[in-house]
Amino acid sequence: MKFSDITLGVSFTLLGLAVLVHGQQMKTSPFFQYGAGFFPSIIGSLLAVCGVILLIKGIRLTLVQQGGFWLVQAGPWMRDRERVINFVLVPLLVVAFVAAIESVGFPLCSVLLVGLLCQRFSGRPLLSWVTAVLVTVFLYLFFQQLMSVQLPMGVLTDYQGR
Amino acid sequence: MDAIINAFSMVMTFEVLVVMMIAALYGLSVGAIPGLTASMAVALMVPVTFFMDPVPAIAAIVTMAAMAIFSGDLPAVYMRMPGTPASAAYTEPCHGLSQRGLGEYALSMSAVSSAIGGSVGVLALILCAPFLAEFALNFSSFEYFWLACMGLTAAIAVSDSSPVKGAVSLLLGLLVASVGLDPVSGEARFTFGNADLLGGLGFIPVIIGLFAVAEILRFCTRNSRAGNSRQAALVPQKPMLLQALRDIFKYKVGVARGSFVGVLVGILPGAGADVAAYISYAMSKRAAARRTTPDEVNMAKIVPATAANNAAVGGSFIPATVFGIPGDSLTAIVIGVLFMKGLNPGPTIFTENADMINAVFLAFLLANLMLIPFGFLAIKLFKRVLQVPQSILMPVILAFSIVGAFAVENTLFAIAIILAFGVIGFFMEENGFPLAPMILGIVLGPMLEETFITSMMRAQGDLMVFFERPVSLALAIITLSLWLLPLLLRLFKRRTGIAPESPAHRQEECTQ
Amino acid sequence: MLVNHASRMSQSFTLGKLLSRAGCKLAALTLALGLAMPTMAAEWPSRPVSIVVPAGAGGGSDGTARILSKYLKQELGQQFNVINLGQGGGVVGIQKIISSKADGYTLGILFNYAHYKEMGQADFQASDFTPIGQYNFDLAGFQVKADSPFTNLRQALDALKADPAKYAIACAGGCGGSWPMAVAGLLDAWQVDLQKVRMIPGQGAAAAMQDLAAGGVDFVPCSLPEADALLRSEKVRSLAVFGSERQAAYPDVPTLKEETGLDLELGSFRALVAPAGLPDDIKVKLETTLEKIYNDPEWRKEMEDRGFRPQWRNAEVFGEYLEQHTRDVQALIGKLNP
Repeated sequence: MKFSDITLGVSFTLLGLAVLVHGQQMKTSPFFQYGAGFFPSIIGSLLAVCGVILLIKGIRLTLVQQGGFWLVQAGPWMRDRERVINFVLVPLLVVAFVAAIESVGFPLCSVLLVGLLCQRFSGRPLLSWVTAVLVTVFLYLFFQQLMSVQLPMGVLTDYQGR
Repeated sequence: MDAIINAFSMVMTFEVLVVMMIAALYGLSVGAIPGLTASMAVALMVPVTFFMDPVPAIAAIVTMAAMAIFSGDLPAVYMRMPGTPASAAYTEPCHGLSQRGLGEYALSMSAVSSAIGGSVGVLALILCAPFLAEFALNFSSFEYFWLACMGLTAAIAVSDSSPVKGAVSLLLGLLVASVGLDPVSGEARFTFGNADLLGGLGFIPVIIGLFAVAEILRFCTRNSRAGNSRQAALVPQKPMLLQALRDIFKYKVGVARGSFVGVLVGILPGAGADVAAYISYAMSKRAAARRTTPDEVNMAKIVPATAANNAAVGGSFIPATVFGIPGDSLTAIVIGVLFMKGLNPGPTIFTENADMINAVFLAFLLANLMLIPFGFLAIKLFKRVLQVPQSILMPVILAFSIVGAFAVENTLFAIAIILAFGVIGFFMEENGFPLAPMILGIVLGPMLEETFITSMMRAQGDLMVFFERPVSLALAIITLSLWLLPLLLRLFKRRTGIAPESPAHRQEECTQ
Repeated sequence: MLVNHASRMSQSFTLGKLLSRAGCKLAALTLALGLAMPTMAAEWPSRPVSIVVPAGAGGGSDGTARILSKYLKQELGQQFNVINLGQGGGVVGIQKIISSKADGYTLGILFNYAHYKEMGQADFQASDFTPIGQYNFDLAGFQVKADSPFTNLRQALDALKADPAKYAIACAGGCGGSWPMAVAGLLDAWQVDLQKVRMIPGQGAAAAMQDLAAGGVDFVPCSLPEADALLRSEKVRSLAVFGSERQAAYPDVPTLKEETGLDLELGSFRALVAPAGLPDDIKVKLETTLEKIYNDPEWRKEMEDRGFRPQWRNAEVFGEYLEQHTRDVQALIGKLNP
């Protein structure tokens, strides 16, 4: 998905201004002219300047090209429903993973995440679920046992350490 | 001479060599997995090293560090995901080479130049540690401020596309770095009352998101169904070792420059292997442009940077051993281990414990030489990963990214960060915003801000303080001329017309 | 966005199908697990325990925690895993300790935490923790550059009293941390006007020591082992250690008591804590185990080799100390800021 320079210019100008306003609201030390908002304010102003430059470039380009005014261009992949589903599925599954991991535990979440995505992408169930289980076992052994990272175990908590 | 023979006999024992080999394998795997950093791996090794003699203990740590920095290049080349932050500077050109079937070649060159750079770093450590450490002791916040400014100049060089988009990317990076508690005033910024944001946006999760998760999203847009294709890089290739050893001479100036920069950046506490790679990459840009083929141009930019990040490891040991000042968390742990082993850091370490410290340095040198055989082994093994169909590989990478991010931060919020930055990275790529300046902004932002504000606190608001100290003045002159010269040059060149924007993003690949 | 692959769609899995399948699997799994649920073991610890360290890997708190975890494992037979949560200068880690379940499976390392509340970063209180025992107290040292005009602490304190704004004191980290609070405590006792004193925040003791050697600041408070290498290379000098007895490893550094007559012990403590409401049996078991470890000469040697000074306060004494400390810091920060 592509945005035109006009769209980008406007959004970065707005973002920059928002950062600037936010930075200005931060407290400054009573003795000292540079408070916590000093740097954010600079970043915000520069971002807004860059936004304006992009906007001017975009407008210029529109004036030079015929019928050049556009805001958003959908990439070719967006016309393929399959790919759009894939694209949306990844973030959705990650969000579900985060939401469920505390209660369900890492092993189950990981098997489901990897298995579902593999199956969706490859269409080969056996390969997908075998991979999912192997990867999960590997991650568990490597991170939890070797690197002693404490992955949430959820319902499996009480089975640890025996 | 006796000292060297003594050191040799201490290193060339069965125990030390076996420990180093195990540490090498450990380091290679840690470095290749995004999210696992060398310092984390070392922290885990400390309890184990307690039971070892000093020489094998430190040898294990330095071997691991050298291997981890190199092996961060493996996923960078093949999957466009840097394994450690030190590889982020040159991930994009590396991956470009890989797509043209030159991945193994690029990695072989990287292994050789890493070994050279690393060795230069160790030699600097052995030969002129006290002198260089003395130099580093001149750096206060005023000098670091100029250093950070100089580093930001590198952003221009690492963004190959339009300068405005590069600037936006850099600013976004600076913005990302300012989220969380302000280290100077202690005030919360951009947290919107959220407790997780108070801790800031972790550097490693952000990198994993921008590169790894964004790549997975791009994969989704490339293949609609059954993306069982394997990577193109698997063309059988002739043995690369000899060719790489031969071809490295083509880039000898670059490797020398990269190693030199790496050592210098490494000895300055606070600027580590990642900054070294960026600066070296930026410095090679002009020289690289003279090469004839595009591949050679890319190689001429990558090779010095890979030498630089390994040289920085040796460099960072200089202030650590001489003054007990750690440059990063890795050397902080090493100092702890040195203390534990009775090898208290300090200038006297070279006289009181000469045999021991020489043995440690020798092991360090050996570790860098081991980089060549072990590096090649790792390249061969890692290539196997690519025989897995992408439709299986991508979900697996996602799982690794999630667990890696969690491992670094120990919070579920880290997983949210990788997802958010995955989406941001995807859209930045689609719209031609380079990622490298953003990473640079995240690295240098806090340094720039903190050094500026604390300097002002010291000088009670007098800006002239940045020009008063001799080293600070020298750095100021260099930095300002770096900024102003190209500007003046461009003013003259601009008369001829606006330079066309180079095509920043790759072609939309349409399989349907 | 047009659907031009409808035929393909029907052949493939839809998201819904996939998810419903997953749901079935999940249900089956939970059912199986529920049936096989183990009877809860009465004896703590029956599974690995996490020790939350509100600091990054490689620092002092991490170092003591990793040493401790090794001995706890030896004594109690379960893995004690160190979890580093150094984000936000420790706020995230301490929040994690407080909000964890008080079941003995999440413990934490606590150090000077009282400033977070005063600086408006978090709302931590002494009553949020179950104190178990303090095992470490590093005394602050007061360092100057080798060519500094000050040769003893009294001179430095008098100079600061005469013109507090003239000198820059590094905080060796955030300005609410243990070292700057130790100095603030001393200056307060010396009746220096705290509001005028210039405290410079930074990136920890090592960076502050480097800055001192580079001439960026005038005074750096931190523990003597943290300054060790620069002390021995004679780049810096230590004017005093903030305790009543000289340190064995640094016999030349005078004490605060010798120099000023003030009988104060200032520095940074580290203690093992649990979330508030830890059951008494677990608390007692942990406390006795910790005391046993504290009296283990091997542990002591390991701590001292790394530059940490062992000091014991049991749960009750430490609990009182924690409250006192919290009040002291609140009072000091009140004086530092108008």
